[in-house]
Amino acid sequence: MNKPLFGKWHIPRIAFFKQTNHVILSVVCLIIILVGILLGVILGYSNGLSTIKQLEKIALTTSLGEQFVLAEQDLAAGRYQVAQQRYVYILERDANFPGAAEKLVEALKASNLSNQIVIILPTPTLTPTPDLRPIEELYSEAVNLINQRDWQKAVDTFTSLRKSDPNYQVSKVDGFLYLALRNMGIEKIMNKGDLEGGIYDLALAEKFGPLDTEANSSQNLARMYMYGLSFWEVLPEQAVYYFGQVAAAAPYLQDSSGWIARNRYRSALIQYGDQLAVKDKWCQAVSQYSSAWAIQEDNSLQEKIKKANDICTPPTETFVPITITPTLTETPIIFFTPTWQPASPTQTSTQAPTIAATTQIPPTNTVPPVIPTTEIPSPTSTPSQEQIPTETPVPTQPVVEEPSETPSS
Amino acid sequence: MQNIKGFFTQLKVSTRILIIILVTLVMSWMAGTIAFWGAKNIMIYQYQKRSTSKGEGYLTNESEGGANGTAAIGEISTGGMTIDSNAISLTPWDGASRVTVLVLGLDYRDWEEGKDYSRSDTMILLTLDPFTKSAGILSIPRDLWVAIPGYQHGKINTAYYLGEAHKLPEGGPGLAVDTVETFLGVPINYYAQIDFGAFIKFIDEIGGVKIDVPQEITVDLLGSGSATKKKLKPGVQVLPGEWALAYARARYTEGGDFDRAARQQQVILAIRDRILSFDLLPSLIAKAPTLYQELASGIHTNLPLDDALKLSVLASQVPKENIYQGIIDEKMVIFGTSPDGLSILIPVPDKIHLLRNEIFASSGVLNPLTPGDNQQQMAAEGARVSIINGSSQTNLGERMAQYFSGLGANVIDFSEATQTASNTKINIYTGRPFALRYFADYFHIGENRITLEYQPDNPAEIEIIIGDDWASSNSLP
Repeated sequence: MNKPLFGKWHIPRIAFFKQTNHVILSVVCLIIILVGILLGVILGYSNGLSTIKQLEKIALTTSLGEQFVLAEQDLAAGRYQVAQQRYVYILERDANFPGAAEKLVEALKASNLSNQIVIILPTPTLTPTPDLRPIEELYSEAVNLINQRDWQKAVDTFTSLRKSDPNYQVSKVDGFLYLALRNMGIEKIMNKGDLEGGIYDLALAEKFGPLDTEANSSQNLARMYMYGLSFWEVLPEQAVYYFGQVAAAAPYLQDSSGWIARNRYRSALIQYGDQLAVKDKWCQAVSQYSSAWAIQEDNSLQEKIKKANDICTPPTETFVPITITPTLTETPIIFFTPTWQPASPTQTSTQAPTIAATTQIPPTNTVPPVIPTTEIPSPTSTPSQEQIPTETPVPTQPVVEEPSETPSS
Repeated sequence: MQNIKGFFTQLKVSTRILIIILVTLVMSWMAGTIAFWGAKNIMIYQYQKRSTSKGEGYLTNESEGGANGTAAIGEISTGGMTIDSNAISLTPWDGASRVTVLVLGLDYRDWEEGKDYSRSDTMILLTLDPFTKSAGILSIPRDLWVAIPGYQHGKINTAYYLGEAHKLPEGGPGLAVDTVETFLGVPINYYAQIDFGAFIKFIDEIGGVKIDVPQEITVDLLGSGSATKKKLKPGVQVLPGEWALAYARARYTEGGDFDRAARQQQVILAIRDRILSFDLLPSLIAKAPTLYQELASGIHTNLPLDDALKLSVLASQVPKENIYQGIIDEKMVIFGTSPDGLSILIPVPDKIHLLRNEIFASSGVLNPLTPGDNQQQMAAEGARVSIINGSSQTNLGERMAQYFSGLGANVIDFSEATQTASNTKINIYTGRPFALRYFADYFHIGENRITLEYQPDNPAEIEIIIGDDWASSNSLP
């Protein structure tokens, strides 16, 4: 009835074999089709992937281009730090982006000229990954990092170690953490412009043991600086006081925005002078302006001094700008005798910090401190005390209503 | 069909096989082609959907929270949330260290007024330490006067606005995080900007939150006009999402923003209680991807879904007594006016440091773990101590050495100084904090008479120079 499938290679006409042959053939065909589908999926996936990469590349190029344009606008507008941030962002994603490196240098230079700052380039943040090395190896590595004075990495490594086994060499690890946190805090304050980060690290170090003279001085400098920043542009007489102290002790102490203490102090003096001028206290304003002039001269300040001086003194007198050559040294030797004592070794005092600077740098502040006391002004003594704003008025006749639907508990 | 079959059976076997192979190959090619285009298009569609979804997120923002319609560059989406991969300044969490998230809520009024970009209205730092199973919540008032990196001083709530308006690489959240980090000095790993809609949906998802309203309070349900003003009576009640949001946003109380911060923390803890008391965590985790898809348009974060899940599990393991709460309140600020006449809060750094340390530094791996009191810690430390007698009282060094040895100190030598010293001092040459604390306390020495110079090879780790001040007043047995 059925012609044998394989014709002249006649196989005995046994239904079983015939069926088996059909099955085999069907399976082979199916496999071929499935292989085709699989190949199609693989090729389609890889093609899709490359298309997406292309799309992403286009999107990235577009966005980097946009950032580049915005950075140029920032540069032109004098927002050097923002421009730097954008250029760094571009270069991190495309090191060969045309013109970005040159523009970054330009922004750094411009920033440097405007603020006389020491630029701290961003260091790439490494992604912490669980450290699975044997604990002895971790310990040895951490001690090596301490000896190399790589405090941040040492803290990270000891942290990894402690997470693996908190009881391993517990006393020694405590000791090394104290040392590393103490040094990391000082380094952040004195060299990295991370004042609050440094204060925080020193607060952590203080949990282990008391701080020493150097750490305490660094901490006090940073705290004074932060007080000055709090009052920046709003209570200039306070800012003058705090920045005056910091500038006398560490004129080149830097904050995260790139400003140095000396320039903060100078600007605060000008702000205070402006405030006094508004209140018609022209002679006091001259004093503030002159102190600022002694730190650094510029034309706009000269005009302010002239105007204030003209009103303060008889108009017949000819104004001669005070020329005091700043005698700041580039690498100041700082030594403090802190007069502030914390309430307890483990707790930071809420008393405002003071430092009696016995540095070799003559203070540039020729004006006596505006506020003779170190007390932080209380809200009641603040002239600009105000109530917390209630920007939306409270309704006089609110509708009393309970939630209509309360979900079942 | 019968004809084709008949024709087929009449062909030679080899021809038949050839045809079958050819047909199979053609079918395979066709199927492969379909699979190719299918796979490719699905991938591209998903990619575009992700891009659109993040765009939608921001568009939703625009309609709900007032943020701009432009997505921050470099965003990708995982699990439905909008994930910002460009947060270059943020340190990814390693899964075991303290993790800190800045939670941001945007200003509803900016949207109501039709502004292009929004300020942040709420800033809350949530921190979690897996090592000690402790957590912290710190509320930061929006009127705080701070340095905004790259910009002039301003209210802290303008940082988000500036980052968005100036299209910074990390956008508004990035600048807000940078600002808070600079202000507080603590590292922040993630941010989460939550829209009102997402908040309401989530609260409704967990069946509302049980809140103990301490006193009658006027709340403003989302919307405009006086019709949305409602009153909540005192007492414990379960609030649905809309009401919980209104309660957290209300500022019509005597304490203004500070009271509001307390209410927000109350709501956060109520969410935790709700999830734990009804054992909702497993079901929430089970439907997390779906839930996140639903909330996707209202949550903008750099926190990946898997980390979010890990954190939620960890948070559930933190006992309530290990949750430190803090608000930068009126005791830590001075009320003032900005140069442009706005009401501001001038921070008092030391008071804020105390609060910060309480929340962030009171526990964790970066705390001493050596057990015992200070004397036991000193003995366990085994610091090599050298005593130099600089006082005019002879043999005081030897007596001190014997005394301290009896207390468990590792005194390696004692000697007489070549010069007399009026004040007692301590020199430390390596990390021996417990011995340092013990001796500093014993001799009543402040930090101005402690010097630390790292000299690992120095035979003595701690050097005590006894001065005349101690010689004249010591109570040595």
